[in-house]
Amino acid sequence: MEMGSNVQLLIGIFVVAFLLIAFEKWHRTTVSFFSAILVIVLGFLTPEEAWNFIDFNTLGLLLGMMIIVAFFRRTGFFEFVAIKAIRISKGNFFALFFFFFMLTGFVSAFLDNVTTVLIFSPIIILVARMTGISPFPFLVGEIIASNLGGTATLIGDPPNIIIGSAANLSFNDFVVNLTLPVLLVMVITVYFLKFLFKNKYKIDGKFDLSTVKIDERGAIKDRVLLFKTLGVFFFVIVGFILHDRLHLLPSIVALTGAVLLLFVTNYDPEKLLHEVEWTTLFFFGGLFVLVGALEKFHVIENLANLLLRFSRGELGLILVVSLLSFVFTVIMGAIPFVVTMVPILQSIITKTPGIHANALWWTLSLSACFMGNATLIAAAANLVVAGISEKTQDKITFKNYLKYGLLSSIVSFLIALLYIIIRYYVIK
Amino acid sequence: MAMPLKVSDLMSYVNPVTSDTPVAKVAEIMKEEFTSIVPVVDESGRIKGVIYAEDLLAPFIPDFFDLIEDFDYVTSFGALDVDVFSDFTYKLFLAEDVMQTKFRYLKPEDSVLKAIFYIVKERRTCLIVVDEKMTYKGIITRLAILKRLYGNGK
Repeated sequence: MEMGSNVQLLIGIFVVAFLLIAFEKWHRTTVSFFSAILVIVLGFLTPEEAWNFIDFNTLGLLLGMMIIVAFFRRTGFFEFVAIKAIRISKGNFFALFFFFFMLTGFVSAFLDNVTTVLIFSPIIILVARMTGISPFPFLVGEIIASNLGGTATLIGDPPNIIIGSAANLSFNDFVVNLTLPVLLVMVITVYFLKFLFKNKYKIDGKFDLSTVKIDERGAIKDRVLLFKTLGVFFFVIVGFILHDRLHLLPSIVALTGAVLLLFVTNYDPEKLLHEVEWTTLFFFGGLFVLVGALEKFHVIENLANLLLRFSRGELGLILVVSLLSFVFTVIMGAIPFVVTMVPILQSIITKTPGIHANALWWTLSLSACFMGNATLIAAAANLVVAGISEKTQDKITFKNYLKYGLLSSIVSFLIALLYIIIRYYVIK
Repeated sequence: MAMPLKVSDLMSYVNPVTSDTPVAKVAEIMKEEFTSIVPVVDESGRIKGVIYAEDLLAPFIPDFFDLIEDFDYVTSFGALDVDVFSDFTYKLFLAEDVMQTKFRYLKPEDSVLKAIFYIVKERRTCLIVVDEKMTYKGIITRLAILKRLYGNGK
């Protein structure tokens, strides 16, 4: 086979794989893993090359956090916090909406979004049914808050983990550069949603909490485990803050926390490891190999050149990256898009001395994570909440979500773009 | 040496219902015959399904409850308590809507030990008994077994 036709075949595999991921005919992990094996079998990569393209820092960080989350879920801590929020709201509809929105955003900044919505959504439905209100606006708020909050930190969302690992950005870099705009977007979005919901759903005023008898203390399942988990988690966060100074990879910090918890609790690892989302890890692994093959055959470099030629200038590049995120995150999801974009941006940064590299990384992070809110299929957490909503009378469908999701993601996207331009190009 | 106990030795009979029997009638049979299981049969007496007392209670549980592990923190469900018990539409359901079509059954000639094993393992109060043609023959309850085992052999 000629070199040219070789590359065409490789691009063909990549395009077909991403189309299959987008249309979900097969499980995304099956597609990603199959494509990775295919590029090895067809000789595009040797097994050693494929192995080297896998970003084990990303996989280790995800694995470590998944184990820590599995411990958290056994404690009942988040149920405790959620019930506390219900009591603090004192029957004020918007206060409850605001608390849950911010709480979800805060928790998903540290835990993965799917876990966050799996914890809070059933409680939201329970509260809504207990008080005779519709859970719909709360569940939509849950989706949006989880995707926004996850953007705030290195560990909040897989795209950030991939970007942080590839660009060597620390936990603190993410906090310093992203937390403020995310917080701003969250506050604006919560009021924007209030405005969108006000004609169709009750979002203001009071609801009756008098007949509801709940006590958050009953939510704690295991106090000893809670203290151990919170203690280790505290050290993990300190580890993330100091990982740069300690010359430790974030994955090592997370994995240390995970094994420390296994050690101090003496939990059966076999049971606990069943809760790790191995499919997600294999999905990532496959994508890294597939995109690695494109890198080896200079496809990524050519795409980077194309992007540079097309965008004309740094601000143009920021705009192009944002718009690409806008379109492709909605079509294929944030993770495959970011895995592909990372080497492209690395190539652009290498080719363009003096370019504000971090501005590009933050643009990719903010736009890809925020656009996860655009449609019901743009992020995993969205589909999980939609699935949960099927157990209520107010189902979230692709159609009824689109108005709230797309409009709020456009608002957050524009704020992010404005933030990038002002922070990195106007103020410098 | 004592003869081994067979299912037929401890079997009792509960009136079966057909698929189109309203669940309210099934509940009445359970109440009157002190049973927590009612078999559902066709015209020829062949078993089509079984209804356990839990199957009559389950429709009252809101679907989303299975997403919540426990309710230790709840004493009163507020409006939900009222909603659930004021909804009488469940009474309009038929036996075929709530019956289990995959269920454990025993043969009259089976050992009682087998019945004990399944009752304990599957945490059932009773099991259905059918012949080789799947014709309904009766039920065996854990109470009947208990009486036999702990009641001086009577």
